[in-house]
Amino acid sequence: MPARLANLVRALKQLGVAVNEPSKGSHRRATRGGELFTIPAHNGLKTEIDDKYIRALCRKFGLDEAALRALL
Amino acid sequence: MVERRTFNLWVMLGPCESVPGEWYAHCLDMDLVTQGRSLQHAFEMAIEACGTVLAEETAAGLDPLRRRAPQESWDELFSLLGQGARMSLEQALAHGQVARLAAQLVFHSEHVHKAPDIRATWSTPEPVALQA
Repeated sequence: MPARLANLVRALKQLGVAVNEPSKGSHRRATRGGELFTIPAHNGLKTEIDDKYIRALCRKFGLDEAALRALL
Repeated sequence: MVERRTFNLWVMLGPCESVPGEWYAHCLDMDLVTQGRSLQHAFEMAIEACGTVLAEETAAGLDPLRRRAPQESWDELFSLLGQGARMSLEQALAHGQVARLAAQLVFHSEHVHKAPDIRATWSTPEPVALQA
């Protein structure tokens, strides 16, 4: 099930991942412990984020996918 | 002193699994995923996302290639490379019947010491497309 960007940003912050708005371009920046992962934000906070992206995001930050989805 | 580095990055593109009408782009060498409103837009988003991570992580002294995609993603790439047809990027993007696309993005970065500066330019060899 896809996630709306606004909900994903809120969930990531609860899990200790900081999310910054883009200074340029169409991606937000998720960071934690020196790790960076870009988040597609081409439709602003209404962007629907695909499952494939969510799995890669979880791999990057070592997040439990079920725990993340429970916060969405 | 100028430190130059070239990054050859494999990117797989295809329809999103759960967002109808959108396309994903998965950079396998960095396990970085993004998405866009069309194949062309997803490709442009991949260039932006890869360029951002390459520039920032190189500037921070990190190796951007330290995390690769899972083996299943590479298997998917090798399968597409074996089955698909080579075409120019323009053909692939204009082609309405592309089901999946594999392209190699080539970034060249320059890191100037004492005045940290990352300049990334990119080019892509002929991608391989699997027609729908």
